[in-house]
Amino acid sequence: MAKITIPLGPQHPALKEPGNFLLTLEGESIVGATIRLGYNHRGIEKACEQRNFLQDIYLLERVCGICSHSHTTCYLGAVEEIAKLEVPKRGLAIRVLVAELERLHSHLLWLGVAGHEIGFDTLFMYAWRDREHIMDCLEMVTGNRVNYAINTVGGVRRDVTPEMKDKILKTLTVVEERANYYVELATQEVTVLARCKDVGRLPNDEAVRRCAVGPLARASGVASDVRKDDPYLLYGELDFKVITSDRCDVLGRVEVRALELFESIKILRQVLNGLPEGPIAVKAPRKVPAGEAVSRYEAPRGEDIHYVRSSGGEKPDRVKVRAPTLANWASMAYMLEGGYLADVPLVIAAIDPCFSCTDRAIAVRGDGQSGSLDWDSLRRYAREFHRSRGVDFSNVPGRV
Amino acid sequence: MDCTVFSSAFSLLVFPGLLFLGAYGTFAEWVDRILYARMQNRVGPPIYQPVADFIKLMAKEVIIPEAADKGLFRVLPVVAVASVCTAMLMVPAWGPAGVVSFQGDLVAVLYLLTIPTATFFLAGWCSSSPYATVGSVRALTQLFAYEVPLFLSVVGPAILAGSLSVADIAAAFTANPLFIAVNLPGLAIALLALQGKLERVPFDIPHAETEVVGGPFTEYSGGLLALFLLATDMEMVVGAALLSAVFLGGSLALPGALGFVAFLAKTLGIVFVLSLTRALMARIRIEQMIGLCWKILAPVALLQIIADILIKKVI
Amino acid sequence: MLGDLLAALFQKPATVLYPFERLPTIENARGRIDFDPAACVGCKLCMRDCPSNAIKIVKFEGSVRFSVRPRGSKEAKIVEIPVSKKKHKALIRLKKCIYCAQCVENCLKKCLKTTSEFELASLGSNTMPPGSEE
Repeated sequence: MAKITIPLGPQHPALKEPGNFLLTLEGESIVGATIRLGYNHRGIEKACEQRNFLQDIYLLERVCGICSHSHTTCYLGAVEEIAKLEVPKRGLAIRVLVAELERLHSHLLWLGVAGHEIGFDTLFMYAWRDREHIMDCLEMVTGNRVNYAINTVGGVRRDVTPEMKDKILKTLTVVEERANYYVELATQEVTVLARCKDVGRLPNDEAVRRCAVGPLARASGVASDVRKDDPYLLYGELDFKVITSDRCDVLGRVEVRALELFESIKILRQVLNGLPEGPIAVKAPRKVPAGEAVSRYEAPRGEDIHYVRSSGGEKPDRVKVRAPTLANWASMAYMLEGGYLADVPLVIAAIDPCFSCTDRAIAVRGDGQSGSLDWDSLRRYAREFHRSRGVDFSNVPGRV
Repeated sequence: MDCTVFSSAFSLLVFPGLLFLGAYGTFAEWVDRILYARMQNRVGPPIYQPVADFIKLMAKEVIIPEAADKGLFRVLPVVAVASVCTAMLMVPAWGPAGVVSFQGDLVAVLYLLTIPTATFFLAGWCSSSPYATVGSVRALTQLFAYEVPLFLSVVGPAILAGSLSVADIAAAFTANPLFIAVNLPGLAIALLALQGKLERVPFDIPHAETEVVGGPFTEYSGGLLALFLLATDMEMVVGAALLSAVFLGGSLALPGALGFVAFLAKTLGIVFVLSLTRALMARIRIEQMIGLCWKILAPVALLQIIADILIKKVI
Repeated sequence: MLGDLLAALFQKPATVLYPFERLPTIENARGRIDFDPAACVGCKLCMRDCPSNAIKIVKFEGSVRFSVRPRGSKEAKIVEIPVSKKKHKALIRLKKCIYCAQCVENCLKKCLKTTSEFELASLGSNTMPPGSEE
């Protein structure tokens, strides 16, 4: 059969944000897939260098609408480490509260979007209707439904009152019951199973080799969760499980996200019932001393890494954002090839892509020319760079 | 002489032809959309929404891709609407028989209802867009999946009635209500096959929005798209009317207006079942659909035929 | 799921028919920023930390002139109030404001306040709500 090449995107009803996938089809099977990104590059990292540390919080919030709290908290983790600030426990607890509420709303949003991609609009409408309860809680605590801006350098800006705590606990009971309903739906509804089983397979070794993060990795049996591996905020003291699944396909990812809803509810209950007393923030200096720090955070989509470097002034020297979706694209080409065209929107949706989070690096050479590096050439460049400086890769397990 | 010309023109253009099908088709679309919305806990559109959509599309510019075959592109929507209207002439709407009734009109109706699917395929093929090509190939593949169960399921009632005319089958079922009960499995198969013919979830694979954008209709816009969508609406009404005549006894030999009310009630009941199916399930893949139709639907229809042959022998 | 679908047919839809019905907003939602000129001393701390350069403190003498458009009317009229000593006024460009309320936190004299007004869309700059200027 003749091969045709279909461009999926940049404008396509399956994609919520622009991105391009060039699919080579033979009938309905995909024999080749090329991913081209960069349509959402807004120059945020450069813009961060021209604003002071406080203004950068609001700028980094807008990297992504769904995981906005993740980016600010991760960034402030790095800034507070450089400035050697100790955020009081109540501030940390409120940060955890908003973080887990964000995880709940993000997973419910994802459930709806995945339902829409497989043509199951009823699931879409029901999941988003239930998500409204979480959005009301977020509005009550932070003042806004998205872009919460609850963080400031050294703590949080708003406090949680006992009435808010009661209202959130009541909402959690409602959401928990609906989460049970969705887990049942995902595991028993015939057409959902038909669409999700054995679709987008990513075996365990491939997931490790391609550096998958977040629910994508956890659904392939890789138990990597920054909250357990490298505890930040209050996660070292909280009791929760890391959900993994051995299914390695889209159904496994659905299961992981649905069960993570319960873990988030558990964490929220622990935090609310044991909210520490005290101030919510410490006074932060306007000038951050010189230094650099790397901070990691478990966003709803996976591991978010921020690197901040300061040279002693009011504005940062360099801010680098490695969003979780950027790490997951390497697995995408593997999952798409050998599948069907009908599965492409679902496989793309199953890694929960956030194109806005994914920046692309541009290489500027000294002679005034510029070029662009895609994922593969960037990795090769990095490897050569480190090899020429004498770094030995022989004791790095499986990641070369 | 004048009388027959006038009555033919009336049948073709007003009832049960173009105007009635257009009005009832948009009404049935509204019923489907508001049921679908209410089942999802939403409000749903007001009653004039499908008509407003049609008028809006008619007012838009028609853009034809340069590489497309212009004549074929323009004529196909008209062919689709025309064949559906012609099919309605043989299905009883007012009274026990359609406008035209003869032995074998059951086969003629099913044949005329296959033509719209062929126009969808040709529309996608001549559009010369990659999405349209994939969509049109899917439409044709889907045709091979659901046609066989659909045809097989109507053979059962034809055997029981001893005739291949829709009017005769309706009369036979009205006379023996037991036939209706016995053929319920056949009705279920026919409903699923009809859902496939109308390309609605779970079988809306040809124009799956998130996969192939618009499928065969990707390049269509303006009045041509409006005609295609009108053809789909009319197809739903004609399909529902056919199933109610073949499986549920049609207008049940009630006089005049009462018979028409029975017709409306039955067709809207079938539309309700189709909406429920649409809300209940996700879209399946094309190879899963072929497997479903050939491995489950067709054998059940065959069993229904065997059961009907045995019942006919007994009676 | 079938049971839920059929039951939902008889329930009230979950949709709120905006703008005929509205959900109640909470009191401390972050909407439009309100300014009280009486307390302002012109320290400009609000301008320093605004992420989008939306607020500007301007000194003036003589009289205050600003445009007022009461809600519901289409015409804006100019109101002039004489003042005896130098005063400051804050101009907030609603197009640029991201409603983060950082200026509210920074203000030493508490002249800036958040309100719950979020219905700020308008067809042109000359019909923006009173107190704002472009």
